Amino acid sequence: MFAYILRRVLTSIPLLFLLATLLFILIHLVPGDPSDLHIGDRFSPEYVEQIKKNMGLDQPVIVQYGKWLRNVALFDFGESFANNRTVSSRVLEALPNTLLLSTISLVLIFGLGVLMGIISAVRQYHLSDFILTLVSLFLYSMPSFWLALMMILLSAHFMPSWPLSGMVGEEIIGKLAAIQEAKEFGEPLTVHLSNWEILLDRARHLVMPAFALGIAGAAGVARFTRSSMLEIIRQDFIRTARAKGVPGRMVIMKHALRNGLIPVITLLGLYLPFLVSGAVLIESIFAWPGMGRLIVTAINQRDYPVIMATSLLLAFLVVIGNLLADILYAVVDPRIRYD
Amino acid sequence: MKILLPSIFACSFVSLPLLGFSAFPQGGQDRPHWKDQGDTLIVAVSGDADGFLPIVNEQATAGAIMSLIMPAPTDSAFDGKIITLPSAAKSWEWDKTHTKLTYHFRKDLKWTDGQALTAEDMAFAYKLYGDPEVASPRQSYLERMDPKKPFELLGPYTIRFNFLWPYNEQTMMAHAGLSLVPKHILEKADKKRLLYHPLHTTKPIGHGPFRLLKWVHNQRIVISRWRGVKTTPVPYLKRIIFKILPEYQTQLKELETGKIDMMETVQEKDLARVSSWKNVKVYKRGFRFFDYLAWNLKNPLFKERRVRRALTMAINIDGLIKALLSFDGKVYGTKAYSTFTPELREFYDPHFQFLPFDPKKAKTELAAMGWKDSDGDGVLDKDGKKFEFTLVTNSGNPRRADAVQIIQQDLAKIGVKANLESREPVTFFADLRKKNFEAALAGWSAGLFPDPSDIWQTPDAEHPRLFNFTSYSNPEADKLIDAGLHTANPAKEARIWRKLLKIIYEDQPYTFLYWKSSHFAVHKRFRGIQPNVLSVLYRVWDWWVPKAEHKVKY
Repeated sequence: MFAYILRRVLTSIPLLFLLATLLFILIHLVPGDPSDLHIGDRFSPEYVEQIKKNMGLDQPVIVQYGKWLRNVALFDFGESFANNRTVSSRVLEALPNTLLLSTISLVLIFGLGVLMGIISAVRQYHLSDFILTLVSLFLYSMPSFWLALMMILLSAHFMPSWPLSGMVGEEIIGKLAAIQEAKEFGEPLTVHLSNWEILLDRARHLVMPAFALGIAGAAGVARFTRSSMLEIIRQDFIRTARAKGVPGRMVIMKHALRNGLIPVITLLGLYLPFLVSGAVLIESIFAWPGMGRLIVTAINQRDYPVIMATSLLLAFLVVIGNLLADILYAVVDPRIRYD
Repeated sequence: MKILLPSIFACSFVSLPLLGFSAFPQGGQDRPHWKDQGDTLIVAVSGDADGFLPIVNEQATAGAIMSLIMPAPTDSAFDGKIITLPSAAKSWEWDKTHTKLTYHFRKDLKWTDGQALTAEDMAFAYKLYGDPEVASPRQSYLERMDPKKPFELLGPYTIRFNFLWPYNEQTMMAHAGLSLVPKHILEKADKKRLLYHPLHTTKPIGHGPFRLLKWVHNQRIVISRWRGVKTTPVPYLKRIIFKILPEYQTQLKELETGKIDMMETVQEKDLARVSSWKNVKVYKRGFRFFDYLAWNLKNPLFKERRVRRALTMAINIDGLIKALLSFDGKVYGTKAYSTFTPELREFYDPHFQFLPFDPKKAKTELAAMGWKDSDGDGVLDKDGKKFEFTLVTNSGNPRRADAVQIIQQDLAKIGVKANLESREPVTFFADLRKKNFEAALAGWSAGLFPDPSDIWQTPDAEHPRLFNFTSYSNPEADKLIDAGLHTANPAKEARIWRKLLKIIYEDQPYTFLYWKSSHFAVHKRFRGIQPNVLSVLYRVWDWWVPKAEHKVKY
């Protein structure tokens, strides 16, 4: 097993290198360059030249590539072209927000998905199976951005006070500002803000984006679980369990589920990149300041250092995710051995 | 009470004194609505700011916020043209040649950190604006000043700007009216790295009605009023929160449900709906944006002016306005004939003679030029070549996407085939500059200072004319532009520009389409709003909310 993991890790190094090179070439093939951003109203060509020089864009592409590679090897991702901060600080700012959102929706995806799948399988061809199948197919085929917009429309209509976007509510923002004004500008302090209030506010803000992000995945997992469970339920050892008098609930939850979840657990590894990439559209619609938004803004602004760093991070996670899925497979299924 | 600034300053290379804010005057009590002071304004903005140092700031939202923190030395109003009003500079005068402008500063001004604000801060700011090593995007503001001595300090409170020649007075004052920066802080900074200075990235020091309280990247920017301000009245509103909301639909819903108080732009199609919301009021800002169809004059198809005029006559521009800018019985656009906004009243001709919409005449004109449908396929041809071209526009703009389709149909009726293509915005704009297009539907946001040189003058070694996408070149127009940029006599200038705009229109390098009015929406509890073409937050220090309607009480 250890030799296998080591082999996999070693082979992923050239893979990542190849990916990085390909990304670099692709990005430089896209028309337009970051200095285009700076050509607004009445900018002189000297100014644009100066900007290009400052960004190092005046050098041959191969030199830019060499420099970038060297820096990346040293874990230095450079400075963002679009706003004068280091790439790492921008990524580190967005990453926790995305992790929070995607962890919650992952729980939703697998928790809700597996539950729906089990019910469907146990009650195969009953009314509840029929309804769950219909609902999950409906949700699965729904584009998530559309679902998000519908949720916003509906909640604005039926629950006008429910937060529609961002991570912090207006009231909390106002109170935080008042407290800071009191501290820094000597204004009188008239408000109180408890951690409990902040936590509750954050939870309220998470509901809609997490749901919009996770619901389609949950529907997918439900279908997956259902078919896997159905297959298991028909096997001999389940019949044996029933025959020796194990209660029905026990048969499903202990004997069948453990085996039925094997393919589902491997899905978990494949979801790892999703944890970090966030969801581009969902984050924009709900103004969630995460990785998805960072990546899209960077692409629109041709912010090469940010695009390269985030893409590389994602590529890395895909490789790791695949590896993890394979390892998990062996862990949960004793029949699989890597030698 | 003495308070230390946050740690970001403590470890930076700027040393700041300890601040004692309570020592400042708590002004504002003499204002007419002071008993109603307080409350918070929440404005939705679609993108994050880049930074707040006027020397290196580029992005518009940040610029608008910056002007509330570090305002220009003079204030502006607009009434058909820009009017300059006293602020930090309490008065100014011109010499007889109208090339020397002397500002006199108030002597009682202070930066928010307690240091005195003088004309030296302005001299220092202009030294940075003009320094090629700083690479300020506003370097060109000093282009028409004496390169040897663009400005000179005549005393701690007096500064003189020396221009090379007299021109439009509002433009001259704008060129000599860029925001001040605190010399005592930036003096020791590395001028090549101003982009990374904390004054730009974290904590600006200003003298304006507001100061930056908190900037959470990609989420919000909070500014709080400064009661020690003297260059403007003390704001009634206690603070303004700029909430970053990239999605327009989300902004609309948040406005409807009262989570935000203001949207900077409401699209025409939503105006009737937004106006009907009981808590929201819509304000009109005037004409700042127009769309045009640019013909690449280097393309053999569009080389002849007669052809371009025929194409314009084939396009139903009134129809476009009706289809794209009319909603619920109201029209939000007007026909354009030049790059000068109708808001500049001195130069605008309300009785301008437009080319008629006359497809028949367009067809006979093209036939006279040899364009006939000889093979009967419905498309004109000449010497075996078809009248066919690609019409590009940028993606992500539904109005323009509709416009090109209507134009395509209009042109098809006279046998001209336009193939549509949409390009990603950054690529599209780069292609326009590289003249990599045949015909393009694009738009301009018009400046309020008359200067057509970048769009219409012939490029030369010294002036590449980056925005002359069509490669337009007309010696008569060149001469008029030079003349217009060299006169300070308003009547003469108006005559020149009117003549120029007519000549360009006759040449039709663009088919000018329409100006569209822009609108913003604010919660009804806010009073004292003066909609203005200059900016959406124009004189926000005069906005107030009656005490009984205050929403935020802290």
